[in-house]
Amino acid sequence: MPTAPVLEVRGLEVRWSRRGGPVPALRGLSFSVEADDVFCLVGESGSGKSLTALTLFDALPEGFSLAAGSVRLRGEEVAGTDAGRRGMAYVFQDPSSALNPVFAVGRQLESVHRARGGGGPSLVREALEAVAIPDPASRLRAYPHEFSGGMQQRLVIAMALLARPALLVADEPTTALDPTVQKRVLELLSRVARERGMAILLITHDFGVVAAMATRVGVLYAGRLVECAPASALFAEPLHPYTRMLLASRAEHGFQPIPGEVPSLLNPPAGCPFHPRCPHAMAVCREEFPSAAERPHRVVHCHLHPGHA
Amino acid sequence: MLEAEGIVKEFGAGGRRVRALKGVSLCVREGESVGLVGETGSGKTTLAKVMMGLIRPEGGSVRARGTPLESLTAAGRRRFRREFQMVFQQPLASLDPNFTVEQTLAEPLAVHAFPGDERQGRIRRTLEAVGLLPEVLEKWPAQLSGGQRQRVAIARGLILDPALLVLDEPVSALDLSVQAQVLHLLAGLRRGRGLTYLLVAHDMGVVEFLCDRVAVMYHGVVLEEGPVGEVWRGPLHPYTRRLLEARLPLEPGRGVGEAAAEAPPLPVWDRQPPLEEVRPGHRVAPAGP
Ligand SMILES: Nc1ncnc2c1ncn2[C@@H]1O[C@H](COP(=O)(O)OP(=O)(O)O)[C@@H](O)[C@H]1O
Ligand code: SF4
Ligand SMILES: [Mg+2]
Repeated sequence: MPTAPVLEVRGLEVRWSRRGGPVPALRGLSFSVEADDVFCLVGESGSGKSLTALTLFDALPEGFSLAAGSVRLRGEEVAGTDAGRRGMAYVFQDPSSALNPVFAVGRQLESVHRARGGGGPSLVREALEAVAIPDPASRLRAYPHEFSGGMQQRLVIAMALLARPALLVADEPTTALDPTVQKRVLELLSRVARERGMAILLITHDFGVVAAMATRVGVLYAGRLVECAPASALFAEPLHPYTRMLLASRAEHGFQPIPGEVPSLLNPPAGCPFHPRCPHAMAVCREEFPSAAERPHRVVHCHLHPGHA
Repeated sequence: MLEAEGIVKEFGAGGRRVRALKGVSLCVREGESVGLVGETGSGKTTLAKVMMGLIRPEGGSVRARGTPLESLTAAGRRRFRREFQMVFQQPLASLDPNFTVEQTLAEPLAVHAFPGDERQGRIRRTLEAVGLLPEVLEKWPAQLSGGQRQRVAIARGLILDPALLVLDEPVSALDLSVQAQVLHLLAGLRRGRGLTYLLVAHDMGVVEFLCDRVAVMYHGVVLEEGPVGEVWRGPLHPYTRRLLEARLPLEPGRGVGEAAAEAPPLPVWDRQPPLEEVRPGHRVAPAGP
């Protein structure tokens, strides 16, 4: 019997209840992350990247609720419960928000460690060594502000490792960091994941980060997962017009512009949400969201790629 | 056209003084586009603001068309304020939330006493130049998308028909799918109006697209400057090389690259070192103090 994926998300729907009536924020998201995956979720601001991550941890912001869908962690349903927090760990964009400024970092690491069942102080030192913080013994007495942004992010990753998670969810972990520091933190993430057999769900808007890290990629647009593919296939042959145009709008391809603007959560276009900007849009695109077309190892939602009838 | 020489700028007081600029010089010639790159806190924005006369340096001087800013006459100052414009880093923060787009664009015209009958035409033409429709005029900043806001900020920079535009990170706050539009807008405006640009950016691709020359800053000093293509393809300073190696190309399967991963930090200069001209216009600082 094949083993269950580390994470399997099916038909995830998240709703935002506001005075003017509820609006869908995530619509029918399905994807899975295998044990040796670095699954990158890419999208622009407001596309639903962070909401997806928060849903996994049952930590949706005020006003947002899970309306439908299933989240299985190693085969066990965890949607709408905090059970996911035991098998997954979360690293945010801003490391300082995850660290308490008034306690020495050693104390914070210890308390995370104890809360998760403990198991000898050597694990704290080991976690610090894993993230290559020099001279961990003396650094444990220091306070968060005495660390640079890159070092703070390493501490947060060390804290996440103490939970021995099967899946690390990292939301734009290097966006706030300078490029040279970003590169070191990414290298560190992929090394610890490899060494510990930990899967990563990496949220980013940067295709350079995707190219460097991803085994698989999911592309979000306006709360929909419009394309999902192995990284090599996605870069070699993007099937969805949005993916293709987004890649072409990067420096390497001469910044080819995409017309129009990112839709707002409040009034997403009907049908395929990309239709107002898509050069291939047809009448049907304005009416119906395209059903999934399954190709070997990949899925795309676009009327140019009809699903199997 | 705009020249900074030996600029020293400190922030803070007493024992907590930070030297943000340590004797930096930079020259922007008429018609060219100069990029300023470097990591967060290296002093790029501070240098740009000093060159615009927005903050006063502790040392050094800035000359606009040959005249030091501090010896400009009242009329000269007004002319400087009109001809040299800055578009700030955060389009939301730099637009007054209590001003409609129309008020935002009309304000500089009023300050510079443009005749009332010219104002409407100028606003309309500028709006068109940045690709906005007249219907945005009644809107408030909060009602605009990120891309529209940045276009309004650029329009405000252009409304007085400046000769030089300082652009601080003009696309980094924008949605990915909108960045290329704004870059093409800026390239087109420069061609169409013969503008001179001083562009602050951390993205090397953006600098290569919009600039002729680039200066690389690190902890308050300039370490290398020269023609963009030459510096990017043949970087001379180890710091420039490191910045270029940190780029993540759009090619999957190469990984992050590990060789340079744990390289020790580069030494920090406490004052601007002299730059040696290695090739015409391509100048570089020694590797370390
Ligand atoms: N208004 C200010 N008050 C105090 N320190 C400042 C101020 N502006 C900039 N600095 C400091 O000056 C240095 C250079 O900053 P900045 O010019 O903003 O760099 P960059 O634009 O390259 O990111 C940093 O150490 C920054 O913290
Ligand atoms: S479904 Fe239609 S509008 Fe949407 S991406 Fe495909 S072709 Fe374009
Ligand atoms: Mg800046």
